[in-house]
Amino acid sequence: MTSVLYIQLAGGLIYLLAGGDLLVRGSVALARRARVSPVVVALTVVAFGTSLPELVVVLRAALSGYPGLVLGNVVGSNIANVMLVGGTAAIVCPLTCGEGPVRRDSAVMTGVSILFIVFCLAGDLGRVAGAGLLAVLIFVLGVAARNAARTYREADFTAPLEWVLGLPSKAGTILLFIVVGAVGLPLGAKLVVEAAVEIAEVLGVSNTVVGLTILAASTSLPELATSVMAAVQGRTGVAVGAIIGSNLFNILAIMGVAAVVSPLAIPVPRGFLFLDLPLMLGAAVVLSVFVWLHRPIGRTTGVLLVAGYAAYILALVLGPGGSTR
Amino acid sequence: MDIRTKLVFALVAVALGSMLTFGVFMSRSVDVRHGEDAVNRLAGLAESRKDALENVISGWRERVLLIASRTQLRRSLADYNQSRSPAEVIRITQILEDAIGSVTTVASLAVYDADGRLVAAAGPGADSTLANLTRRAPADSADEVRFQGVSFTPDAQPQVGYLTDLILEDERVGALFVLLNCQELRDLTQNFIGLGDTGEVLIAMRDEGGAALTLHPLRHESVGGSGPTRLQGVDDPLVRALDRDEGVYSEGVVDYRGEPVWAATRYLPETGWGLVVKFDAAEQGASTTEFRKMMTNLGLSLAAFAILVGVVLGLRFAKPIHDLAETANRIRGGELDARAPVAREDEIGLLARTFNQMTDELEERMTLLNEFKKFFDVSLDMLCIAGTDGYFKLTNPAFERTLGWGSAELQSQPFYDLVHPDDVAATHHEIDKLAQGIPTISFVNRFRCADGVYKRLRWTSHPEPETGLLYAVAREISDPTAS
Repeated sequence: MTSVLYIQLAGGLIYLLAGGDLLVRGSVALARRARVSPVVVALTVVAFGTSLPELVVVLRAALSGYPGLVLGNVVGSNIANVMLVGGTAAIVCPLTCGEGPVRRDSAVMTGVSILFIVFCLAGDLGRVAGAGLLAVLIFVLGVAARNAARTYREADFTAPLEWVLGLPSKAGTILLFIVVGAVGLPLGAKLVVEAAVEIAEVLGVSNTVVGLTILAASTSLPELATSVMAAVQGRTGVAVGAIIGSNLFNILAIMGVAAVVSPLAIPVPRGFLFLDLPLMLGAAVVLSVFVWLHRPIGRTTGVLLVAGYAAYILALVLGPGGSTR
Repeated sequence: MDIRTKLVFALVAVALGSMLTFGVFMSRSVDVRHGEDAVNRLAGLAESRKDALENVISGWRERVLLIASRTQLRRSLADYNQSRSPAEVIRITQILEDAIGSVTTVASLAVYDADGRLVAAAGPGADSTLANLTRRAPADSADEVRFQGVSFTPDAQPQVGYLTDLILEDERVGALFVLLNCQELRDLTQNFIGLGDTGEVLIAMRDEGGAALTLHPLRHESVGGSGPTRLQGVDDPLVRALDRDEGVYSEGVVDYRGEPVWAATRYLPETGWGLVVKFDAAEQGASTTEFRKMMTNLGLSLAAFAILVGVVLGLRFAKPIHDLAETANRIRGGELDARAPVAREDEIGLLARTFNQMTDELEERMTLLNEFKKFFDVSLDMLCIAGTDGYFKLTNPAFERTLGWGSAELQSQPFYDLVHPDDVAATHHEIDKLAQGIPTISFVNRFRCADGVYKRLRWTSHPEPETGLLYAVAREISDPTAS
């Protein structure tokens, strides 16, 4: 019956992506009707919206008592973002990086990764650690809002949304988008989390390993698709910025919210301190170095990143750490 | 909502609706089938355990017959009946001890003479056990091997007693009592394969007081320990089984724990035992719930793929229409060279081709029109369309250059107002002629300019009586004598 679980996982992902997309379109349209400033919309609805699927999955996992999935998903997602998504996009077309805001964001990402590891070293992630991460998020968003207000171009944010379905304009359609999205997201999260837990049971590994591997890779699939599409079209500057933004958001918003709402503190297994967290930090540092040196990420680096990711997954599944996590 | 959204939502709604209908029907039939399955499974388990128990019982009978069939034993007993010799007793005891050693599960044996007096015994307490056994089968039963009842060893292991006549050359020489250990009952009831987490098999007899007494440990009661248990509470299915009521019960029965159960009952007439196979209604409910949950999750997941397909198909079908609408929009905005993509063979392709042809013609006519417009605009002669109602409908820029009136001013008042009062009557007359369809070859009148000066104009005009419109050309006559 394992195949049913994978179908369930895939189906859940579709609900998550479709629901998230509809909710973002509905909300942007609603904000437009309510004459909310487009900068505010871009920094809140659009920025949070693209991470909504991950957020609801992690919330669901935290509230259903699977903290292993939470930590696994966040850390696994950050590793997958750099190594799998960045690596694959670089193989398709070498990625240029090093534009102004990206340089600052990459430094922030490295700093936040270190902060996160410090929290993990201090023990289980409870409400205090979660609140700390959220406070940093608010600060980072505040700075971003000030900068965005200066260089803001609305088209940058809404152009991707005009694609395919367009933004609804009638009140009824907006409501339909929001309602369908609000139903689809939790439904998808439920399916994905239940499937992930059962897959862990069937494979005989812990929830954390499933969070690090299957869940993290599948929630990174949309990012992989958009980054590769951007690389194919030669828009190579987009991918690195998107990866850094997603990683920042994963730690600050997703981990922060999950740690705050989770009924129990999220335990940090010992194995995490020796493999997964250092790898996450290492990946962040490597990316930052490329950004700071204005060096493009070439095909060789891309191949190395993807190969490293494959080795990491193999180590997780086959290695002795697989059962201790 | 644009056509893509509409089509996508419609397709997704249809896909989900049909899946939902299917799911509701499936869910109902699954519930029924799942219940039927459980009932059939119970009945099958009960039947196979009953068969197994009957095999065990016939094994016991065979062992009794095997011992009774020893010629030596019967001959020795016949000899004893005549001689009452202690030597025969010793010989018979020897044979009995030998039988205990060679026939499995035999616990003890006793031999009685034709008058029912104990002759010899081997194994612990054979004689006293027979006396204490609850007799179930009548002593004069015609049966060759007669079941005598169940006794319990000091460590509470059940033993079954059988009595059989010893017959030598058609003459009854005595009787043999055999007490057998029944390990088989434990094997039969302590194997929970196929019974889930709560199911169990019960084999029970009625004790002296008529209460049910199981012949083996219970799965659910630690109090019962390793041995048989006299059930404290009433076990509905067991009562039914002991009342010779064979069937499957899926509601309204509770077991000795007071737990609602699904149970199948069987009765073994030979021993008077009841057999019950049961599992908790809660577990049956849980498995149905579990199954339904799995089906629901699978259904929802497949629905997601239906949504995906619906979105892809909807976008694919709606895209050419959307493109056509976009093209029309661009043409309306003045991009006359915009054309719809036509790479399709269906109605939409036809529509697009027709649309493009129409756009081609439109563009051609617009070009032509623009040329005429230029001709109209640059002409030095005054060109106009006027009505027999006395109003200009369209005037070219030459009017403004000559008279100083803008086209709006010219068109907002009857042109008679601008005609020199002395010429108004002649102009009326000329317009009347035109209204009748008579063209003007050459007609001269005086028009007032914006600065108040009158200019003489020579008119050539062609009427269109159906519409009341006049197509006219005028030229200023600078030489007053030329009239």
